[in-house]
Amino acid sequence: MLVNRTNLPRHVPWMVFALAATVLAITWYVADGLRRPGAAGGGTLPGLSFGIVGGAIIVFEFLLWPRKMVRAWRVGRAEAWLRAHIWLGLLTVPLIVLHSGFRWGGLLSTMLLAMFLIVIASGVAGLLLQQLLPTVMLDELPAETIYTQIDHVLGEIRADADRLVAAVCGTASQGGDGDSAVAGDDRPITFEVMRRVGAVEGRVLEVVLPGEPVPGAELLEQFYHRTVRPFLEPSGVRASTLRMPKQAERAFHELRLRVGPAAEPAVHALEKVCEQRRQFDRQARLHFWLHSWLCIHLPVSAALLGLMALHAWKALEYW
Amino acid sequence: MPNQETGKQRAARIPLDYFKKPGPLERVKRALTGVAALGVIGWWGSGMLRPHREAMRYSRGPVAAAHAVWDAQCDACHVPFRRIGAASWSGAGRCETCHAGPPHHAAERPGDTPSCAQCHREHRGRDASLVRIADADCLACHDHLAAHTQPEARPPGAEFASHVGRFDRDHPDFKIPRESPGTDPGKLHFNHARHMAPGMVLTNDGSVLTNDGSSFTLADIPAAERERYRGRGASGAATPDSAAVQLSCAACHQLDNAHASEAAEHAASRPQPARPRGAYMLPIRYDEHCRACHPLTFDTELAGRTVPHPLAPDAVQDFLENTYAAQYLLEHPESLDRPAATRTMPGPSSEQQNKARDAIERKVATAGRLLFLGQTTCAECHAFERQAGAVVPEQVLPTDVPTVWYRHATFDHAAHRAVSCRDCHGGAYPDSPQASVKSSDVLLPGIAVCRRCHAPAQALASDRGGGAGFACTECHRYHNGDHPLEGLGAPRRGAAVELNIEQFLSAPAPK
Repeated sequence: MLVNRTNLPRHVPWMVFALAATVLAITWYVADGLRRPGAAGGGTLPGLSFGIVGGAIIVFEFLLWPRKMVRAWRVGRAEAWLRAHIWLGLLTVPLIVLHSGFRWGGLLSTMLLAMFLIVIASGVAGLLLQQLLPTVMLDELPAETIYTQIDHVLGEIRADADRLVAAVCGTASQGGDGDSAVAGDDRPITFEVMRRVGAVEGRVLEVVLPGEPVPGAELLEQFYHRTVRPFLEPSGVRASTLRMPKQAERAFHELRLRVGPAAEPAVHALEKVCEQRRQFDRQARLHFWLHSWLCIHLPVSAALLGLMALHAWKALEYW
Repeated sequence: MPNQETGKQRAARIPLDYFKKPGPLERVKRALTGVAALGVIGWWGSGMLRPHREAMRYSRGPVAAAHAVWDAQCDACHVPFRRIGAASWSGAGRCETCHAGPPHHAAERPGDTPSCAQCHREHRGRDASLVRIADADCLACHDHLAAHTQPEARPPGAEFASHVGRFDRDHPDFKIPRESPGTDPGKLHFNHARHMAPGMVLTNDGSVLTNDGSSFTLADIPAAERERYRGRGASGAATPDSAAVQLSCAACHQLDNAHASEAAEHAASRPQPARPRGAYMLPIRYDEHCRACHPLTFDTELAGRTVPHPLAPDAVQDFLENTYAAQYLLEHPESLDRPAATRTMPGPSSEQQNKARDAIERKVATAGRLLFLGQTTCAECHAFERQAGAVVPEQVLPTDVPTVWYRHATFDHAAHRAVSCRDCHGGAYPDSPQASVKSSDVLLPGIAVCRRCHAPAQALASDRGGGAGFACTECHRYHNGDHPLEGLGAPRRGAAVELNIEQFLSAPAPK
């Protein structure tokens, strides 16, 4: 969730509430602590209260997951849930630390506190990443597509490229895809390419009409099958020279010099396809960092919830 | 123109229900969440497989070494779903299974009695002390004591400082003894300064100490006990018999673990019971500490004959009569040369009998005056209760020297063994400005002496001092453990019930 100037007013009430609750909790804890030596733990009235409130908040925090899983639920807007998740989650830090009495305690309470800190740290990290990475993606990835569909879209692009090369070179595609183009297919070939107009950059469709084979088509076809086609495979990025923009630009420049101006539209189209492929790769990496923290945050939260229930039961049984 | 792919056709390249199929990251996330949930269940379940160790998982931390037997047995101390609260000490809890104890004070308000766990905090590790109570626990009441006591329940004459704070700042000075602060309640005449002076040459004439020229030497002490008082010269050689006697504190004051029984220990072939740890000084005993210099000689003609100690005045009289009668018979054996009467014969005594009686009574009276009126034997140290004009007192007043001066605080002489006696008891030394020449002097240190060490460490090296503990529990025990009859081992501190080993290990709640 982005917290910026635009939506800050909607966060302010939560921030004020979390801050006021923290101040109140600390005041109560200190006032009670003046009457007893050492740091009061969960056995005192304030400590127990903080534990109960903190535990209830943690349960609420965890409910965000089913709330997002079951989108048909109309229990408040997801955005409102997320704001509450963030600020109530941060409020649990002082509550749980005061509940612990600044001690790790025994095995279970140590595990709980460690897990709690991991959950908080991963959540804060996720929040920070969400402030940064979406902006980066917006700026740098005009070709962004749905993350889970990258491989599928990549397959479509591969098929388009196969048809283009087959049409331009007058040969059957050797790509191996079932719907690959063959010589004689005179349907227009549509490409998504990146285009910048002024400060705006976005995807536009370009149409290439199949025609007679161009001079130097063998070189184009050879370059395509040796360099471009492997790069368009889902796992072909790492080993390819085309993954670096400068190297790709140099490679296509050399190709242009060798195949002549007649093949320029096809070379240009392939270059744009490769650029899109690079953006998909970068999108995948950014997406990983944008969401991978959840692979820590959620499982540890689940474990925290389970152990917290055990802790509550045992603590109340022997307090 | 052949058919060109439309925008709608291109949009349809991505299936509309794509979101129903989770991506790889989502699948990993779900799998890890499942593993975490299973891990929690497995962790909980594995504890059930080892029930004897399961409790350790949920313990707040290891209990103190004294309770380590019950580390994995929560029920030994806890009553399930009942807090160890103020009611615990009144039988609802399980502390009393092993720990009985008197109330802290008769005048404490019942509602202010803290729970066991309020002061004795457990689960802080094996080496944590359960008796090192934080000052705040004590000051919760003693900071404003009036609000926490029942005035009507206070013992008559009892005075309490209504506000006590930190030892080095807000602790009242010691009242020693409590009944008559600053005055020794003892009725034993004793001049510390004179006894600590070489040769005991000081006269007891009030606060002015003068030399009367008569030195007490080793030769004046019976040979059998002389070695105890023989000192060492500068060269390390033993001082000759002509040397003046120089007593040290240890000549009379011995720790309760001192060498009085060492000879017996060495001589005995069987092990001796453990001795006290040397916290307190043993009471002064005439036979051990006084007799060598103060023999109870009552007649110069009966050299070596002394009155036994202790004896009541009547018994002393009997002793004297028996002694002089035996002496008379030894000197007049003809007195025995007459038929033994089987019953008291009527009529006046014979002249011989009267003569004997007169002689014995004269000597008994002379010895009695020496003992009870003179200044060299009994009367030198003891005070008497007697009728006006009488020689023989009705009784010797009890000495009443306190065995333990700090009756509501502990002190450990052994812990302070490296510190010179003079630093705390300077009045005992003749060269001290406060040299004690009166029996009523109290030679115990005030709080200022204690604070030289028992205070926070001084920051400046030039102002060296402090650093030793200054918590309340350095000297005080809440459960009256500093009281002679209520310390550990006293019946009032006994267990509520006696258990066999199996019961002890399972620590049942008191019936």
